Amino acid sequence: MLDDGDRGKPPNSRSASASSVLQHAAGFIDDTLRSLGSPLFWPYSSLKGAAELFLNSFDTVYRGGNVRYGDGKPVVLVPGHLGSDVTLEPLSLWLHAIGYRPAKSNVLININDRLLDEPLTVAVREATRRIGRKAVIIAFDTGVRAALRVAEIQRDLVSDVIGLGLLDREPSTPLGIHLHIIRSASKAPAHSDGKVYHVRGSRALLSINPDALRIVSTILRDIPIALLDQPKG
Amino acid sequence: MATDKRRQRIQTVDGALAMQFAQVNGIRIAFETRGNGPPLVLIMGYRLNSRAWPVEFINELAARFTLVLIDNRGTGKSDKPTTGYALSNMARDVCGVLDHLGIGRASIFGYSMGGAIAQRIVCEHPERVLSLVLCATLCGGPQAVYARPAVLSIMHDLDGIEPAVAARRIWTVTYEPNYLAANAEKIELQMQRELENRTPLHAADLQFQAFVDFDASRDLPSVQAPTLIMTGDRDVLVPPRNSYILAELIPGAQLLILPGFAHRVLWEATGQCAGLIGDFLERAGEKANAEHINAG
Repeated sequence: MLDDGDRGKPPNSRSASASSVLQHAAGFIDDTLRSLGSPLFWPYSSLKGAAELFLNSFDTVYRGGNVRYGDGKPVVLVPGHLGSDVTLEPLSLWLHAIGYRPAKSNVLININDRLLDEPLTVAVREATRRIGRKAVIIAFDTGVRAALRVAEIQRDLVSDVIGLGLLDREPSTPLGIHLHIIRSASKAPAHSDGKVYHVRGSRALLSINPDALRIVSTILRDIPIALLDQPKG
Repeated sequence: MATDKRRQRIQTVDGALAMQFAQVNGIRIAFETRGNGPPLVLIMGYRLNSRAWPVEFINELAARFTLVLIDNRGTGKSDKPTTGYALSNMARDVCGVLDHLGIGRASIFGYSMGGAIAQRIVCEHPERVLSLVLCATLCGGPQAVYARPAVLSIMHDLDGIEPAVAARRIWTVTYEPNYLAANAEKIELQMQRELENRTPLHAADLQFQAFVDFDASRDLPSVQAPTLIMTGDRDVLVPPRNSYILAELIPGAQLLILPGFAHRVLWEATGQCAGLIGDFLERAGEKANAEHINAG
């Protein structure tokens, strides 16, 4: 059966359109399996996540313990696969409490990272215009792809990208942009390997992982302020 | 001598001196000198510049001291770099201005965040300090008592708000409510002076960050300069408990709690504060002179 949109189109165009839909569907399933694992293990992952949340809830990092205060730079947050602005709300509140200006990227739900480019570009432009400084983007798994694409185009507005829980191999970094990566490691203790940091804990909870938050605060603190319009002295 | 000649050359009609500049610590710091007598450096608080001092306060102190009014890094006519706001470094800015003026030792008065800079000066450059006055300030670190989050939010979360609207919002936590109600016009004029040369957002953020990082609690017990600590008992921004803590930490410090006044105690009780500060500094100076003569 052809729908109304396909009527009158040549057969080649119809097959290309069907191929594109299939590609998107395959990409969605692939990202879902890679970010959440096999559905067979979801009950186990949920229990494990709940236990991790409970154990971490006593950490002082949530109350600003051993965290250095920020310099007010704009930080744009990009959700990961199947995430939204709402899922990043705890991180947003924490960043605000330690002295930064977090901004949401106006994403209802991330089902395809290509669809994030436009709202993320708007969010970066708005945040940097309001504060008058270059922004840092903090992005999760598939959101890192969008963050790097937008940073490449908006390199005059973005200084750094912090990627958490990447699904892909380490991506190439656009010229002039600094990329910092935080990965989860189930057994290895927290350590860093150059610009790649490893923290213990599950990948899905990296946005509230105490070790990851400490690393994020250190990275943000070390990024110098880059004014967009240098005031005269 | 050279400084006196420079001062005579730039003296203006109303007795005040025009703003001067010193290239110190890698940047240009603006300052002003006024009056006659022993040197007294005034260090202003968070986000404000030297134009913010109450006029009557300056006039009264200038009758007894040579005042050095400094625009802190990032404020007024001083440079506004994106680095170097650690309070130790801002203390070096002040010492650089003293070097520029050829002043070896001076009395230091610090208000609010300026009080934190003054503490860094007395701890790290004790040879430069004759006597010290700390007003509405704290020692920082875990011993300090910080304002409630709602109060800090009023001071700090001002994005997208017009400067005058933001200033009026800040009044609610810096002025005593009854004083605010009775002196709205005077406070409005004060605000106009303060907004003449606005502090850019990055400088305000970096000053705030430096104030949060500040901790002098371990160093203060070694302070030897005569010290006066003063505050209003209705200060909600830097709670008065901090002044008690400072008085416990600094050996021999005098503590003055002024009843009925808030964080802007200098603006609310200008004449009283100028008198108390002037008397304390003169007594400290006389005592130092007497000890110097006895030692000789």
